[in-house]
Amino acid sequence: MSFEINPETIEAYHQGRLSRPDKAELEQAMQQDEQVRIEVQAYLKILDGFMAKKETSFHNQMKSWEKEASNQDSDQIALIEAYLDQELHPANAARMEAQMQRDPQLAEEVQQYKKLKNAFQAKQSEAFAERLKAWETDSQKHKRSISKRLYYRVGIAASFVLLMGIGTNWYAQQNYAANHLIEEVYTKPLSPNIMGKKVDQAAWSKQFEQTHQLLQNGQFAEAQNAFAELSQQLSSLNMNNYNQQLYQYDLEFSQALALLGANGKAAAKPALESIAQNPAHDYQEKAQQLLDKLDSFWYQVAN
Amino acid sequence: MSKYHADEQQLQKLQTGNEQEWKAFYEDIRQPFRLFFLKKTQLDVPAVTELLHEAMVIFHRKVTSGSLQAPLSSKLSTFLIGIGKILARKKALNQKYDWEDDIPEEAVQPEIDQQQEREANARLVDQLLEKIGSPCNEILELFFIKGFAVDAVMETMGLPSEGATRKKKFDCLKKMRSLL
Repeated sequence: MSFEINPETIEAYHQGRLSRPDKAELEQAMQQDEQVRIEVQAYLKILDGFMAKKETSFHNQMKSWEKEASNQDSDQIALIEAYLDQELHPANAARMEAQMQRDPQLAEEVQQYKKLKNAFQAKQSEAFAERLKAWETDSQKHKRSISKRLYYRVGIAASFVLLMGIGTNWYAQQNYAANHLIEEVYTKPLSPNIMGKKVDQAAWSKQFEQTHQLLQNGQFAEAQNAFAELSQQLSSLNMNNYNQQLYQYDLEFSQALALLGANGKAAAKPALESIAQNPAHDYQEKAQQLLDKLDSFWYQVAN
Repeated sequence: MSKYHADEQQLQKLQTGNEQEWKAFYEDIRQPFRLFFLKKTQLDVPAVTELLHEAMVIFHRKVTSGSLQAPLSSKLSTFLIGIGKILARKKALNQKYDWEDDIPEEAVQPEIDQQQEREANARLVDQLLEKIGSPCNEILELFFIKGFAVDAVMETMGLPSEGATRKKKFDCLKKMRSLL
Protein backbone atom coordinates (compact mmCIF):
# COMPACT_ATOMS: atom_id res chain seq x y z
CA MET A 1 0.00 0.00 0.00
CA SER A 2 1.93 3.05 -1.30
CA PHE A 3 -0.77 5.64 -0.46
CA GLU A 4 -0.60 6.70 3.17
CA ILE A 5 -3.97 6.44 4.89
CA ASN A 6 -4.55 9.47 7.06
CA PRO A 7 -7.83 9.81 9.02
CA GLU A 8 -7.61 13.62 8.77
CA THR A 9 -7.55 13.39 4.96
CA ILE A 10 -10.44 10.95 4.95
CA GLU A 11 -12.47 13.21 7.23
CA ALA A 12 -11.87 16.12 4.84
CA TYR A 13 -12.88 13.84 1.94
CA HIS A 14 -16.04 12.82 3.80
CA GLN A 15 -16.98 16.43 4.43
CA GLY A 16 -16.24 17.46 0.83
CA ARG A 17 -13.40 19.73 1.99
CA LEU A 18 -10.57 18.04 0.10
CA SER A 19 -8.97 20.01 -2.73
CA ARG A 20 -9.67 18.74 -6.24
CA PRO A 21 -6.13 17.33 -6.83
CA ASP A 22 -6.04 15.62 -3.40
CA LYS A 23 -9.48 14.17 -3.97
CA ALA A 24 -8.43 12.85 -7.38
CA GLU A 25 -5.29 11.33 -5.88
CA LEU A 26 -7.25 9.59 -3.13
CA GLU A 27 -9.87 8.24 -5.54
CA GLN A 28 -7.19 6.99 -7.90
CA ALA A 29 -5.43 5.23 -5.03
CA MET A 30 -8.73 3.60 -4.04
CA GLN A 31 -9.18 2.33 -7.59
CA GLN A 32 -5.66 0.98 -7.89
CA ASP A 33 -5.15 -0.45 -4.43
CA GLU A 34 -7.83 -2.59 -2.84
CA GLN A 35 -6.27 -2.23 0.59
CA VAL A 36 -6.58 1.56 0.37
CA ARG A 37 -10.19 1.24 -0.74
CA ILE A 38 -11.03 -1.03 2.19
CA GLU A 39 -9.35 1.30 4.66
CA VAL A 40 -11.04 4.44 3.30
CA GLN A 41 -14.43 2.75 3.24
CA ALA A 42 -14.00 1.61 6.83
CA TYR A 43 -13.33 5.18 7.96
CA LEU A 44 -16.21 6.49 5.87
CA LYS A 45 -18.50 3.98 7.54
CA ILE A 46 -17.46 5.27 10.96
CA LEU A 47 -17.84 8.90 9.91
CA ASP A 48 -21.25 8.16 8.37
CA GLY A 49 -22.23 6.51 11.63
CA PHE A 50 -21.22 9.61 13.57
CA MET A 51 -23.21 11.78 11.20
CA ALA A 52 -26.26 9.54 11.60
CA LYS A 53 -25.90 9.77 15.38
CA LYS A 54 -25.63 13.54 15.13
CA GLU A 55 -28.82 13.60 13.08
CA THR A 56 -30.60 11.35 15.56
CA SER A 57 -29.57 13.72 18.31
CA PHE A 58 -30.85 16.69 16.26
CA HIS A 59 -34.09 14.83 15.56
CA ASN A 60 -34.61 14.27 19.29
CA GLN A 61 -33.95 17.95 19.94
CA MET A 62 -36.60 18.83 17.38
CA LYS A 63 -39.09 16.53 19.09
CA SER A 64 -38.66 18.47 22.31
CA TRP A 65 -39.00 21.81 20.44
CA GLU A 66 -42.11 20.43 18.74
CA LYS A 67 -43.59 19.47 22.10
CA GLU A 68 -43.16 23.06 23.30
CA ALA A 69 -44.47 24.59 20.08
CA SER A 70 -47.50 22.31 19.70
CA ASN A 71 -48.78 23.31 23.14
CA GLN A 72 -49.48 26.75 21.80
CA ASP A 73 -52.96 27.75 20.60
CA SER A 74 -51.52 29.38 17.50
CA ASP A 75 -51.38 25.96 15.78
CA GLN A 76 -55.11 25.46 16.05
CA ILE A 77 -55.90 29.07 15.13
CA ALA A 78 -53.73 28.85 12.01
CA LEU A 79 -55.50 25.65 11.00
CA ILE A 80 -58.96 27.13 11.62
CA GLU A 81 -58.04 30.24 9.67
CA ALA A 82 -56.80 28.20 6.70
CA TYR A 83 -60.00 26.15 6.87
CA LEU A 84 -62.27 29.22 6.95
CA ASP A 85 -60.32 30.77 4.06
CA GLN A 86 -60.89 27.50 2.15
CA GLU A 87 -57.19 27.16 1.62
CA LEU A 88 -56.73 23.67 3.08
CA HIS A 89 -56.23 20.71 0.77
CA PRO A 90 -59.66 19.02 0.32
CA ALA A 91 -58.43 15.98 2.28
CA ASN A 92 -57.44 18.18 5.21
CA ALA A 93 -60.67 20.22 5.01
CA ALA A 94 -62.60 16.93 5.18
CA ARG A 95 -60.52 15.86 8.20
CA MET A 96 -61.28 19.15 9.88
CA GLU A 97 -65.01 18.71 9.27
CA ALA A 98 -64.94 15.14 10.56
CA GLN A 99 -63.11 16.33 13.65
CA MET A 100 -65.70 19.07 14.19
CA GLN A 101 -68.43 16.43 14.03
CA ARG A 102 -66.69 14.46 16.74
CA ASP A 103 -65.68 17.45 18.84
CA PRO A 104 -68.48 20.00 19.48
CA GLN A 105 -66.03 22.25 21.31
CA LEU A 106 -63.88 22.52 18.18
CA ALA A 107 -67.02 23.12 16.08
CA GLU A 108 -68.01 25.92 18.45
CA GLU A 109 -64.53 27.42 18.28
CA VAL A 110 -64.60 27.39 14.48
CA GLN A 111 -67.99 29.14 14.59
CA GLN A 112 -66.60 31.77 16.94
CA TYR A 113 -63.67 32.43 14.61
CA LYS A 114 -66.04 32.66 11.68
CA LYS A 115 -68.06 35.33 13.52
CA LEU A 116 -64.89 37.15 14.46
CA LYS A 117 -63.64 37.05 10.88
CA ASN A 118 -66.97 38.38 9.56
CA ALA A 119 -66.90 41.12 12.17
CA PHE A 120 -63.40 42.12 11.08
CA GLN A 121 -64.52 42.23 7.46
CA ALA A 122 -67.51 44.39 8.38
CA LYS A 123 -65.25 46.66 10.40
CA GLN A 124 -62.88 46.89 7.46
CA SER A 125 -65.78 47.88 5.15
CA GLU A 126 -66.96 50.44 7.68
CA ALA A 127 -63.46 51.89 8.02
CA PHE A 128 -63.17 52.09 4.25
CA ALA A 129 -66.54 53.83 3.95
CA GLU A 130 -65.33 56.34 6.56
CA ARG A 131 -62.20 56.93 4.55
CA LEU A 132 -64.24 57.52 1.39
CA LYS A 133 -66.27 60.13 3.25
CA ALA A 134 -63.10 61.82 4.46
CA TRP A 135 -61.65 61.91 0.95
CA GLU A 136 -64.85 63.43 -0.34
CA THR A 137 -64.75 66.15 2.31
CA ASP A 138 -61.11 66.89 1.48
CA SER A 139 -61.77 67.04 -2.21
CA GLN A 140 -64.55 69.59 -1.78
CA LYS A 141 -62.02 71.97 -0.30
CA HIS A 142 -60.26 72.19 -3.64
CA LYS A 143 -61.37 74.14 -6.65
CA ARG A 144 -62.55 71.88 -9.42
CA SER A 145 -62.37 74.03 -12.55
CA ILE A 146 -60.13 71.92 -14.74
CA SER A 147 -61.63 68.49 -14.99
CA LYS A 148 -64.77 66.59 -14.36
CA ARG A 149 -64.49 64.22 -11.46
CA LEU A 150 -64.98 60.54 -11.42
CA TYR A 151 -66.49 60.24 -7.97
CA TYR A 152 -69.98 61.17 -9.17
CA ARG A 153 -70.00 57.84 -10.88
CA VAL A 154 -69.25 55.85 -7.75
CA GLY A 155 -72.39 53.94 -6.93
CA ILE A 156 -73.39 53.79 -3.30
CA ALA A 157 -74.76 50.28 -3.78
CA ALA A 158 -71.49 48.88 -5.12
CA SER A 159 -70.17 45.84 -3.27
CA PHE A 160 -67.23 46.16 -0.93
CA VAL A 161 -64.82 44.60 -3.38
CA LEU A 162 -66.09 46.78 -6.18
CA LEU A 163 -65.88 49.78 -3.89
CA MET A 164 -62.28 48.95 -3.11
CA GLY A 165 -61.40 48.94 -6.79
CA ILE A 166 -63.45 51.97 -7.71
CA GLY A 167 -62.53 53.75 -4.53
CA THR A 168 -58.83 53.31 -5.22
CA ASN A 169 -59.24 54.64 -8.72
CA TRP A 170 -61.47 57.43 -7.47
CA TYR A 171 -58.99 58.47 -4.85
CA ALA A 172 -56.21 58.45 -7.44
CA GLN A 173 -58.27 60.50 -9.88
CA GLN A 174 -59.23 62.95 -7.18
CA ASN A 175 -55.73 63.55 -6.00
CA TYR A 176 -53.26 62.40 -8.63
CA ALA A 177 -54.76 62.98 -12.09
CA ALA A 178 -52.39 65.21 -14.05
CA ASN A 179 -55.03 67.95 -14.17
CA HIS A 180 -55.43 67.90 -10.45
CA LEU A 181 -51.69 67.97 -9.81
CA ILE A 182 -51.30 70.96 -12.10
CA GLU A 183 -54.13 72.73 -10.33
CA GLU A 184 -52.58 71.97 -6.98
CA VAL A 185 -49.18 73.51 -7.72
CA TYR A 186 -50.29 76.26 -10.08
CA THR A 187 -50.42 79.82 -8.81
CA LYS A 188 -51.84 82.50 -11.01
CA PRO A 189 -49.09 85.11 -11.47
CA LEU A 190 -49.62 88.77 -10.75
CA SER A 191 -50.09 90.82 -13.88
CA PRO A 192 -46.77 91.97 -15.35
CA ASN A 193 -47.64 95.53 -14.50
CA ILE A 194 -48.11 94.68 -10.87
CA MET A 195 -45.20 92.27 -10.72
CA GLY A 196 -42.95 95.08 -10.14
CA LYS A 197 -41.85 96.91 -13.06
CA LYS A 198 -42.73 98.66 -16.08
CA VAL A 199 -42.80 96.33 -19.07
CA ASP A 200 -42.33 98.15 -22.31
CA GLN A 201 -44.07 95.79 -24.57
CA ALA A 202 -47.73 95.90 -23.75
CA ALA A 203 -48.30 93.17 -26.28
CA TRP A 204 -45.97 90.82 -24.40
CA SER A 205 -47.83 91.51 -21.15
CA LYS A 206 -51.12 90.78 -22.76
CA GLN A 207 -49.86 87.56 -24.27
CA PHE A 208 -48.44 86.54 -20.89
CA GLU A 209 -51.85 86.89 -19.25
CA GLN A 210 -53.65 85.17 -22.12
CA THR A 211 -51.26 82.24 -21.99
CA HIS A 212 -51.89 81.75 -18.31
CA GLN A 213 -55.59 81.82 -19.10
CA LEU A 214 -55.05 79.00 -21.60
CA LEU A 215 -53.36 76.96 -18.87
CA GLN A 216 -56.18 77.65 -16.45
CA ASN A 217 -58.70 76.52 -19.07
CA GLY A 218 -56.87 73.25 -19.59
CA GLN A 219 -55.73 74.16 -23.16
CA PHE A 220 -52.35 72.70 -22.42
CA ALA A 221 -50.90 72.23 -25.91
CA GLU A 222 -51.71 75.82 -26.88
CA ALA A 223 -50.41 77.11 -23.56
CA GLN A 224 -47.18 75.14 -23.96
CA ASN A 225 -46.45 76.67 -27.37
CA ALA A 226 -47.34 80.16 -26.18
CA PHE A 227 -45.10 79.88 -23.08
CA ALA A 228 -42.20 78.79 -25.30
CA GLU A 229 -42.72 81.83 -27.47
CA LEU A 230 -42.92 84.16 -24.46
CA SER A 231 -39.63 82.73 -23.15
CA GLN A 232 -37.88 83.46 -26.42
CA GLN A 233 -39.11 87.05 -26.41
CA LEU A 234 -38.24 87.69 -22.77
CA SER A 235 -34.55 88.38 -23.30
CA SER A 236 -35.30 91.07 -25.85
CA LEU A 237 -37.49 93.03 -23.45
CA ASN A 238 -36.12 96.06 -21.73
CA MET A 239 -36.39 94.68 -18.23
CA ASN A 240 -34.08 94.75 -15.24
CA ASN A 241 -32.36 91.51 -14.25
CA TYR A 242 -34.48 90.95 -11.19
CA ASN A 243 -37.78 91.12 -13.09
CA GLN A 244 -36.42 89.16 -15.99
CA GLN A 245 -35.47 86.38 -13.59
CA LEU A 246 -38.92 86.43 -11.99
CA TYR A 247 -40.64 86.02 -15.38
CA GLN A 248 -38.13 83.44 -16.49
CA TYR A 249 -38.87 81.25 -13.45
CA ASP A 250 -42.62 81.67 -13.91
CA LEU A 251 -42.45 80.79 -17.60
CA GLU A 252 -40.26 77.72 -17.01
CA PHE A 253 -42.57 76.29 -14.39
CA SER A 254 -45.78 77.18 -16.27
CA GLN A 255 -44.39 75.63 -19.44
CA ALA A 256 -43.51 72.43 -17.55
CA LEU A 257 -47.11 72.30 -16.24
CA ALA A 258 -48.49 72.79 -19.73
CA LEU A 259 -46.19 70.02 -20.98
CA LEU A 260 -47.48 67.70 -18.26
CA GLY A 261 -51.08 68.43 -19.18
CA ALA A 262 -50.48 68.10 -22.92
CA ASN A 263 -47.98 65.27 -23.20
CA GLY A 264 -47.80 63.59 -19.79
CA LYS A 265 -45.16 62.79 -17.22
CA ALA A 266 -42.31 61.72 -19.49
CA ALA A 267 -42.41 64.97 -21.43
CA ALA A 268 -42.60 67.20 -18.36
CA LYS A 269 -40.13 65.40 -16.11
CA PRO A 270 -36.83 66.78 -17.52
CA ALA A 271 -38.09 70.38 -17.19
CA LEU A 272 -39.39 69.77 -13.67
CA GLU A 273 -36.14 68.05 -12.65
CA SER A 274 -34.12 70.98 -13.93
CA ILE A 275 -36.24 73.35 -11.80
CA ALA A 276 -36.13 71.06 -8.76
CA GLN A 277 -32.34 70.92 -8.98
CA ASN A 278 -31.98 74.69 -8.85
CA PRO A 279 -32.22 75.84 -5.21
CA ALA A 280 -32.51 79.47 -6.30
CA HIS A 281 -35.54 78.80 -8.48
CA ASP A 282 -38.77 80.30 -7.16
CA TYR A 283 -40.63 77.08 -8.04
CA GLN A 284 -37.99 74.61 -6.84
CA GLU A 285 -40.10 73.32 -3.96
CA LYS A 286 -43.25 73.01 -6.02
CA ALA A 287 -41.40 71.21 -8.81
CA GLN A 288 -40.01 68.71 -6.32
CA GLN A 289 -43.42 68.22 -4.75
CA LEU A 290 -44.90 67.56 -8.18
CA LEU A 291 -42.11 65.15 -9.15
CA ASP A 292 -42.73 63.13 -5.97
CA LYS A 293 -46.37 62.82 -6.85
CA LEU A 294 -45.60 61.88 -10.46
CA ASP A 295 -43.47 59.00 -9.19
CA SER A 296 -46.15 57.73 -6.83
CA PHE A 297 -48.29 54.63 -7.22
CA TRP A 298 -51.42 56.80 -7.20
CA TYR A 299 -50.30 58.77 -10.25
CA GLN A 300 -49.99 55.51 -12.19
CA VAL A 301 -53.50 54.49 -11.13
CA ALA A 302 -54.96 57.83 -12.11
CA ASN A 303 -53.26 58.33 -15.47
CA MET B 1 -24.48 42.14 -2.01
CA SER B 2 -26.86 39.19 -2.43
CA LYS B 3 -30.56 39.93 -2.14
CA TYR B 4 -30.76 37.22 0.54
CA HIS B 5 -28.40 39.01 2.89
CA ALA B 6 -30.52 38.42 6.03
CA ASP B 7 -30.77 34.71 5.24
CA GLU B 8 -27.03 34.51 4.65
CA GLN B 9 -26.43 36.04 8.07
CA GLN B 10 -28.81 33.49 9.56
CA LEU B 11 -27.00 30.69 7.70
CA GLN B 12 -23.73 31.84 9.23
CA LYS B 13 -25.25 31.58 12.71
CA LEU B 14 -26.69 28.12 11.98
CA GLN B 15 -23.31 26.91 10.73
CA THR B 16 -21.90 27.35 14.24
CA GLY B 17 -24.28 24.59 15.34
CA ASN B 18 -25.57 26.74 18.21
CA GLU B 19 -28.65 25.01 19.62
CA GLN B 20 -30.50 28.26 20.40
CA GLU B 21 -30.07 29.45 16.80
CA TRP B 22 -31.43 26.17 15.48
CA LYS B 23 -34.34 26.25 17.89
CA ALA B 24 -35.22 29.82 16.86
CA PHE B 25 -35.01 28.82 13.18
CA TYR B 26 -37.25 25.80 13.85
CA GLU B 27 -39.84 27.94 15.63
CA ASP B 28 -39.86 30.48 12.77
CA ILE B 29 -40.20 27.98 9.96
CA ARG B 30 -42.52 25.48 11.65
CA GLN B 31 -45.87 27.20 11.04
CA PRO B 32 -45.32 28.33 7.42
CA PHE B 33 -43.89 24.92 6.49
CA ARG B 34 -46.78 22.99 8.05
CA LEU B 35 -49.44 25.25 6.54
CA PHE B 36 -47.82 25.04 3.11
CA PHE B 37 -48.09 21.24 3.06
CA LEU B 38 -51.52 21.12 4.76
CA LYS B 39 -52.78 23.36 1.97
CA LYS B 40 -50.98 21.71 -0.93
CA THR B 41 -50.97 18.00 -0.02
CA GLN B 42 -53.30 15.41 1.44
CA LEU B 43 -50.82 14.80 4.29
CA ASP B 44 -52.39 15.24 7.72
CA VAL B 45 -50.95 17.19 10.67
CA PRO B 46 -48.76 14.40 12.15
CA ALA B 47 -47.47 13.48 8.66
CA VAL B 48 -46.65 17.11 7.91
CA THR B 49 -44.80 17.42 11.24
CA GLU B 50 -42.81 14.30 10.37
CA LEU B 51 -42.10 15.77 6.95
CA LEU B 52 -40.83 18.96 8.61
CA HIS B 53 -38.46 16.95 10.82
CA GLU B 54 -37.12 14.93 7.91
CA ALA B 55 -36.58 18.07 5.85
CA MET B 56 -34.90 19.77 8.81
CA VAL B 57 -32.49 16.83 9.27
CA ILE B 58 -31.43 17.07 5.62
CA PHE B 59 -31.19 20.84 5.89
CA HIS B 60 -29.13 20.51 9.10
CA ARG B 61 -26.75 18.13 7.33
CA LYS B 62 -26.33 20.51 4.41
CA VAL B 63 -25.69 23.46 6.70
CA THR B 64 -23.32 21.83 9.18
CA SER B 65 -21.31 20.00 6.51
CA GLY B 66 -20.81 23.30 4.69
CA SER B 67 -22.47 22.12 1.48
CA LEU B 68 -24.94 24.99 1.71
CA GLN B 69 -22.96 28.20 1.42
CA ALA B 70 -23.50 31.87 0.67
CA PRO B 71 -24.28 33.41 -1.75
CA LEU B 72 -27.76 31.90 -1.53
CA SER B 73 -30.04 31.64 -4.54
CA SER B 74 -33.19 31.59 -2.41
CA LYS B 75 -34.40 32.22 1.13
CA LEU B 76 -33.62 29.48 3.65
CA SER B 77 -37.35 28.89 4.18
CA THR B 78 -37.82 28.42 0.43
CA PHE B 79 -34.92 25.98 0.37
CA LEU B 80 -36.42 23.98 3.24
CA ILE B 81 -39.86 23.85 1.59
CA GLY B 82 -38.09 22.69 -1.60
CA ILE B 83 -36.62 19.76 0.37
CA GLY B 84 -40.08 19.09 1.84
CA LYS B 85 -41.59 18.95 -1.63
CA ILE B 86 -39.35 16.17 -2.86
CA LEU B 87 -39.84 14.25 0.39
CA ALA B 88 -43.65 14.64 0.09
CA ARG B 89 -43.52 13.39 -3.48
CA LYS B 90 -41.54 10.37 -2.34
CA LYS B 91 -44.02 9.65 0.47
CA ALA B 92 -47.02 9.63 -1.85
CA LEU B 93 -45.93 8.21 -5.17
CA ASN B 94 -49.50 7.93 -6.44
CA GLN B 95 -50.24 11.59 -5.81
CA LYS B 96 -49.70 14.23 -8.44
CA TYR B 97 -48.84 17.53 -6.88
CA ASP B 98 -49.40 20.82 -8.59
CA TRP B 99 -47.58 23.17 -6.25
CA GLU B 100 -48.68 26.32 -8.09
CA ASP B 101 -45.67 28.27 -6.89
CA ASP B 102 -42.07 29.03 -7.83
CA ILE B 103 -40.37 27.07 -5.07
CA PRO B 104 -38.03 24.57 -6.75
CA GLU B 105 -37.90 21.01 -5.47
CA GLU B 106 -34.51 20.31 -3.91
CA ALA B 107 -32.65 17.24 -5.11
CA VAL B 108 -32.12 15.14 -2.00
CA GLN B 109 -33.29 11.79 -3.29
CA PRO B 110 -30.08 9.76 -2.90
CA GLU B 111 -29.76 10.84 0.72
CA ILE B 112 -33.27 9.61 1.52
CA ASP B 113 -32.51 6.23 -0.01
CA GLN B 114 -29.48 5.80 2.24
CA GLN B 115 -31.54 6.01 5.43
CA GLN B 116 -31.29 2.31 6.36
CA GLU B 117 -27.57 2.24 5.75
CA ARG B 118 -27.17 5.33 7.92
CA GLU B 119 -29.03 3.72 10.78
CA ALA B 120 -26.86 0.61 10.54
CA ASN B 121 -23.71 2.76 10.63
CA ALA B 122 -25.04 4.63 13.67
CA ARG B 123 -25.51 1.35 15.54
CA LEU B 124 -22.00 0.29 14.58
CA VAL B 125 -20.56 3.52 15.94
CA ASP B 126 -22.48 2.99 19.20
CA GLN B 127 -20.83 -0.41 19.59
CA LEU B 128 -17.35 0.89 18.77
CA LEU B 129 -17.64 3.83 21.15
CA GLU B 130 -18.49 1.44 23.93
CA LYS B 131 -15.44 -0.66 23.08
CA ILE B 132 -12.84 2.12 22.89
CA GLY B 133 -13.88 3.57 26.24
CA SER B 134 -12.89 6.85 27.85
CA PRO B 135 -11.53 9.39 27.01
CA CYS B 136 -11.66 8.52 23.28
CA ASN B 137 -15.44 8.00 23.25
CA GLU B 138 -15.95 11.38 24.94
CA ILE B 139 -13.57 13.21 22.61
CA LEU B 140 -15.13 11.72 19.48
CA GLU B 141 -18.65 12.44 20.71
CA LEU B 142 -17.73 16.06 21.38
CA PHE B 143 -16.23 16.44 17.91
CA PHE B 144 -18.59 14.45 15.74
CA ILE B 145 -21.94 14.47 17.52
CA LYS B 146 -22.03 17.68 19.51
CA GLY B 147 -20.08 19.50 16.80
CA PHE B 148 -17.63 21.19 19.21
CA ALA B 149 -14.71 23.15 17.75
CA VAL B 150 -11.13 22.11 18.63
CA ASP B 151 -10.69 24.80 21.32
CA ALA B 152 -13.96 23.80 23.01
CA VAL B 153 -12.95 20.11 23.08
CA MET B 154 -9.50 21.10 24.42
CA GLU B 155 -11.09 23.04 27.24
CA THR B 156 -13.75 20.44 28.06
CA MET B 157 -11.26 17.56 28.11
CA GLY B 158 -8.46 19.51 29.81
CA LEU B 159 -6.01 18.87 26.97
CA PRO B 160 -2.79 20.97 26.79
CA SER B 161 -3.13 22.47 23.29
CA GLU B 162 -5.21 22.53 20.15
CA GLY B 163 -2.53 20.53 18.33
CA ALA B 164 -2.61 17.86 21.03
CA THR B 165 -6.42 17.81 20.87
CA ARG B 166 -6.39 17.36 17.10
CA LYS B 167 -3.83 14.57 17.37
CA LYS B 168 -5.88 12.84 20.06
CA LYS B 169 -8.98 13.03 17.87
CA PHE B 170 -7.31 11.24 14.96
CA ASP B 171 -5.55 8.73 17.22
CA CYS B 172 -8.94 7.83 18.67
CA LEU B 173 -10.40 7.53 15.20
CA LYS B 174 -7.55 5.15 14.23
CA LYS B 175 -8.20 3.15 17.37
CA MET B 176 -11.85 2.91 16.47
CA ARG B 177 -10.94 1.77 12.97
CA SER B 178 -8.71 -0.94 14.38
CA LEU B 179 -11.68 -2.35 16.28
CA LEU B 180 -13.70 -2.81 13.12
